[in-house]
Amino acid sequence: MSSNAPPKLPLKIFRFYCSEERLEELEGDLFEVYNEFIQEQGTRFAKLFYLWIVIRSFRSFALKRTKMKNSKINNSLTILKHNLIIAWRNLTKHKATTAINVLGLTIGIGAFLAIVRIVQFELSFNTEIPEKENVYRIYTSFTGSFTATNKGVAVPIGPYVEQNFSGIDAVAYFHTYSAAVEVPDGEETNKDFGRQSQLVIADSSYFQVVGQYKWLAGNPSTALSDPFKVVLTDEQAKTYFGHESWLDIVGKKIIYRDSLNLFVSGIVKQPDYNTDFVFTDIISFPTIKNSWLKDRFDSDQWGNTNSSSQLFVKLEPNVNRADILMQLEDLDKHVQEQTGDTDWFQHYELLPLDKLHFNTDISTFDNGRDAAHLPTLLVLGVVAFAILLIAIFNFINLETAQSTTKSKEVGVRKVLGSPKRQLIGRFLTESMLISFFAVLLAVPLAHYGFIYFDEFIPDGVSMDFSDPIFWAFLGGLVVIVGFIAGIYPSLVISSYRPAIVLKSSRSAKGLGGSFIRKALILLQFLFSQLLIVGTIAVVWQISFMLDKDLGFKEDGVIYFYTPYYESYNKQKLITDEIETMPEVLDISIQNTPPVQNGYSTSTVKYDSPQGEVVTNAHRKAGDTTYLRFYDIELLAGRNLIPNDTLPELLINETFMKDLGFDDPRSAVGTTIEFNDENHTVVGILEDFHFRSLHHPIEPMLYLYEDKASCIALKVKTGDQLQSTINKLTDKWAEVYPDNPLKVYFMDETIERFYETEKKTSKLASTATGIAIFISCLGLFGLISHTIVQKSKEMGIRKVMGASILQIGSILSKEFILLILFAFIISTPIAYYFISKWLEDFAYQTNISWWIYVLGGLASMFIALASIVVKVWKASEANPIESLRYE
Amino acid sequence: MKGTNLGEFEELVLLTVGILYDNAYSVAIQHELNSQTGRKVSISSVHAAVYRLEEKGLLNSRMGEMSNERGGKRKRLFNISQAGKVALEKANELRNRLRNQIPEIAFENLR
Repeated sequence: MSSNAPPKLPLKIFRFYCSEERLEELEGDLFEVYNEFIQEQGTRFAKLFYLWIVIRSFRSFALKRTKMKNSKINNSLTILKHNLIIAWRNLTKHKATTAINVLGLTIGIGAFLAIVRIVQFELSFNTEIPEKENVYRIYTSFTGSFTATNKGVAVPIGPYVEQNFSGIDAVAYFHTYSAAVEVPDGEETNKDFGRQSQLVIADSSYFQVVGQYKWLAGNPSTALSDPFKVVLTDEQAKTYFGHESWLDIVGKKIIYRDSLNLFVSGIVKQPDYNTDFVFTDIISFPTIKNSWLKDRFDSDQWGNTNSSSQLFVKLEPNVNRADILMQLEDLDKHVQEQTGDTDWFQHYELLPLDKLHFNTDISTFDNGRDAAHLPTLLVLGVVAFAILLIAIFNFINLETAQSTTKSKEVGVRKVLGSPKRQLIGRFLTESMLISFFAVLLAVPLAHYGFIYFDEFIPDGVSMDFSDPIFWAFLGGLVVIVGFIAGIYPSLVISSYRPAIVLKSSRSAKGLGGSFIRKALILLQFLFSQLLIVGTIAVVWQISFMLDKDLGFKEDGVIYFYTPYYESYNKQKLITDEIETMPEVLDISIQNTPPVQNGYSTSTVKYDSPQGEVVTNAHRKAGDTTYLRFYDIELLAGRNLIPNDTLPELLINETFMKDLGFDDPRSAVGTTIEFNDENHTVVGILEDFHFRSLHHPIEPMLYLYEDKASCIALKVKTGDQLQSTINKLTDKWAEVYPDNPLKVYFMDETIERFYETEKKTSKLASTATGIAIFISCLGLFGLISHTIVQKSKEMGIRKVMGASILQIGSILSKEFILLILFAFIISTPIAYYFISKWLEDFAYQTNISWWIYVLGGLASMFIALASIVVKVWKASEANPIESLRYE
Repeated sequence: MKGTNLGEFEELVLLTVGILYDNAYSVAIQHELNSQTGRKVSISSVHAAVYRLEEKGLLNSRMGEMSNERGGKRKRLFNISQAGKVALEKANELRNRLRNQIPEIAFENLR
């Protein structure tokens, strides 16, 4: 009988899964069956049949598993199972310690997760825009009479760069804009979408430079080349038109600010990654010249820099950045020739796209997302790790302190022949288990943390549960935290000598780890104290800035702007109306209130003994009530008197000193050229802060202008305020039915200057709270343990007549010493960081020495508070309780 | 202890091993079962049964001679152990005892 070898692949499969022990006989059997089948049915089916029986034979009798009963893997599985069971029993036995451990780790990991997510979120901005490495923003910085930066450029710069620069692939100059939007939804009626703040006026080069868009409808190269066209993002198109098909939306009309009728010419997809380019309506650039937009955006002034006028360029690949910088220097010179300014210079700077999100000086865009402060992110990251470390230290401390209770177990295990490696595994399993539970609980904690701390967490941050990387990260966190927290205690415990731990009847004391334990407590309190002092300093500076006398009175001042495109008569009307209201104590018409977010500056010329000086000064304007209204003092001269023939102005003290005068009286009468006209300085104003306290006071001038758009009112505060505003709103609606009234409060405007600092202080105080809480948990656990250890000693001492106070001091002495130590080390570190942080402010509060002492005392007090109950109980305990078992 | 009871298929396999006496290996058992019972028994079910029986101690086994028919692989030959014999007898006795207790009347009037 001829025998055919079975097909190779199924045989291979069979050999792979079959146990060696049975392979020979089974393979033989299959061979025999196969050959029989060939004789009965022929070769063709036999091969399939063979595969079939191989599959059928995938059963326990053939599998390798039957052989592995004594193999290593099986063995370690058994050990793992055993370890898990023992660990679980141990954890449930010491419920309090376990709870402290899990709680500490949970809070630590929760804070860590949340902060890491925030940092990761902020860092992810603009990273996925195609060819981002070649894209740069060009922005303006000013030097000379004072320094400043502006995220925008003067309008003529964009076309100039496009024509004269080499090595540039595409130039996008565009204006950010916001306007009320209406969409016709019937023959006569319009649907109102309110104010849309993410508008941009651009041409097709915008899409070349910012390559993040996918076109859903419309032609990318021509969609923006004609006037009165607008390209929408997909989301915005849905908002305006609902779920119509993209092609149907193209050609529809949208009305901007009542009268600007634009037609949709394209729809692009807004990417789902994080980007700062979140414009929703992209209006075609030629619209400017053909509409009233030209009054605002079509300027030929090289010296007028508006933060809404943006310039982005995409460099050709492999272009040397130095080439571009050289060309920018030429541009600086060209601009200076155009402006003729000799004391204040515009420079054009290059900002890579990946820094766009992190430049807090110029921020992203008007109405855009706030730029993230990189140092803050860095500090946040450090704080996240510090909190995690504190929690891990806690764990290590408690475990090593507890190790004495496990010494017997280790002794017995060692006598029974357990190798050290297995013992380490046994204790690591326990810490891994705790770490697992902690991470499990930390996820919801971080999730709800985001909701709770909503106000200072950037928009859009959340846990991404669908992201596999997130889960892998969590898994990694379990292992890493479990390992770091568990390895040291495991090593300490597993190195006990069985003879020693089993022989002595009392629990082995001083078995090691006490030095490390002290060091870790020291570190914990070091972190906590740094955070406490840091928080106090930040809060201090904020309240200093809010309380500082700014040089003018802002109490009870509210203000609002009348629409600049409406006729002046209407403003006159509403002013007269308001003046009749009894609730209004005073009224003043002005161009700008003393403080506001933006600022405007002008070039001025004056003659000095050294010749003509050209410089730049902040410009404020309004009617003659300004000084009285804000209680700004006149150092010399007189207030403005409205007249057409002799232009006059007021200057501030800083400007006067810049002009070279020391005595205000002698400065009165100086002539300053401004707007191609000579103005006489008729009065000197006392300096007041018209910008945030980050900035020093700069030269300022005040002009007469009665047709200004800002109306400021002094009203009675308190309960009446709301009714006053309601009354005001009614009167407003009569005069300006199409525009909603937006009332600003002066004190809120001032507070908004320090938003970043407020966020910092909130984050700092939260982090401090968490760190202190975890540290105190650790202290609490440690003191409980110490008390159990020393109960006999305390009993004897009491019998010998020690007082409660003495016993308490013996128990807490160690901790107090450690906290003192931490204080000594933390003070210089805190001092260094606080002075660094304060450098940001032109006006700094005095951080006096006692703030550090306060921080130290606070941490001492909190630490003592967390152990005092335990210590009290221990000192109060009847000595009989602890001694009678002797 | 598991497996003091014999399953129906196990009992059949055990009996077949006895019938084949010195040549009881898996493929032969399969053949014998096929011809004796008329069932289609797959080789892997036989394998499962004999190895289980061996684990229970009802079968002993040894490796046979090499043979060309099997691609040079030896076969495992099974024979009934003492425990196997006892188990068979027990099963047989149990069945008979139960059968004998059925009253004749139960079989009357069967259709």
